[in-house]
Amino acid sequence: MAQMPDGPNEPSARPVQEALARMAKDASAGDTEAARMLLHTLAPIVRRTCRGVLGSNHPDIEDALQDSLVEIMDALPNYRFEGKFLHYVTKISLRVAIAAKRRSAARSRNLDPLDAVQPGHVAHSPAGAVELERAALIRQFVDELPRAQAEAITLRVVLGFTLEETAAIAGVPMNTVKTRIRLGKSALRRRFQQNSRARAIFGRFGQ
Amino acid sequence: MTRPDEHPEEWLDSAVAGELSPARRRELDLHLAGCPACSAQLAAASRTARPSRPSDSERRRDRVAVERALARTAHRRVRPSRRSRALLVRLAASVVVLASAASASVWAAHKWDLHWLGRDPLPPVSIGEWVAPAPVPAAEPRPSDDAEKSTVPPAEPMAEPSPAPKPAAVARRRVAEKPSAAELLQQARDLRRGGNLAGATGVYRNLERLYPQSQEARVSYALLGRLLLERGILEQALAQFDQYLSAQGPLAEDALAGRASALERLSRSTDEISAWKTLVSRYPQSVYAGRARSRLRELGSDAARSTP
Repeated sequence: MAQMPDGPNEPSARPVQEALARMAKDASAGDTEAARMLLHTLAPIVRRTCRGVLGSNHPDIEDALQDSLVEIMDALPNYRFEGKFLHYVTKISLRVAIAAKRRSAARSRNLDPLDAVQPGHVAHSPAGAVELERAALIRQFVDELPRAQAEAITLRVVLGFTLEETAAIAGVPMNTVKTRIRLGKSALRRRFQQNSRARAIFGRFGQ
Repeated sequence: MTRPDEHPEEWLDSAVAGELSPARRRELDLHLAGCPACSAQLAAASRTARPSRPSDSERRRDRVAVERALARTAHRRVRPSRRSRALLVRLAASVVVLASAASASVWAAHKWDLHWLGRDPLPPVSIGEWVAPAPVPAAEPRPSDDAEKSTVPPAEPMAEPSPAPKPAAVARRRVAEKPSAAELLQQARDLRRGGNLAGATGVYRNLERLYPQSQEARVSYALLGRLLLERGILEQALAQFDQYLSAQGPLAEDALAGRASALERLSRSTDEISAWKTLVSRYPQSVYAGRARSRLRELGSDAARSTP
């Protein structure tokens, strides 16, 4: 489940993080080439986060990516290089993407459940189609959660981070993140039970 | 785990890591059958453990986002330190090596983008923008079309306020307000995406005039060439493409295709054949290769028959 290159099974994780941190320091000091290299490295990681929150076909995904990179650049002077840099990056991009999603939802409540369909990941089987539809529904329901819960649920349920990573990225103690996840999941469960389409999908799973 | 709201977070992590005992796995499966959030989480975590390689299209869009982010934050960066390029490349290379060493790990999913670290800075250009013509507004006034057809660059589009201030004041303000090359490039793109092709053309011209040695101006040669091609100002488009192709650059493939298209529309068949042949020989896997071979066949060139 370790998405970040700093899990316990990552022998080279720390040097990679350190190299990225050095690049970030140079970028923070005004070195444009270092900034360019850093952002080129981070862009796919940030895109993955934005895609997880927004869905790959969301019209605002490119803007969210660009805004996240700008936020990362702006945040560099305030980064104290104490934590894991990629966690810091994910935290920023997650917040930008969630904000973009909420702005978009405010503009139009017409959410397309097919926005979870990702190129190269198109369902080739009924089970795959159900999985995609379920992901889209979860994404939609996460929008309705309080921001802190939405953030924790997105990290955990949508992006697949471990508990430790979720707590580190959210910047809160483990117990706090567990509470947020528990409350968020319970809210999701209630929403699923109230939604006929969700019930139909999970009915196909044998409930 | 007897209540529905007790979500077995640790067990989920252990399941993904393959460290859950069969008995607990059975208990977890019972929970998953009734919990959409946990079952979705397990699916997401499993996908995360096997991330897919980003597509070429995503990589291109990433490049665009990076350059735009750099342009947007350019004014906030202090004067760059004179850190040597070689040092950065060595640093980047060390990241590549380290990432490669972790090829069995999830980090391998990001290896490909570390590969870019050792390359020259990528231009702030969107191939998507390039391929997809910008929308042309139906009622757009095009007062500068005639000016475009002349060889004289158009006047700077940023209008001075009236009444005209003293020349010295104008000069001071111009110095103070002179936009950077990156800002001009962004401005031109915004105008183009907004459908103001004439305005975008003027800004590209200004960029090339004010910062002729900049990387942004280099990119502008290709982008303006494409824009002029869309507008049907073919001779000038051709000149722009030639200007870009006078040196090596990452947009050469696109510039070659644009050049060939301009020659096609100018009915310069011999030159067009040569341009398409150059494109196919240099970039046999190009997205334009199909078009090139098709045109070569139409023009009766042997090159079309000799290439796959």
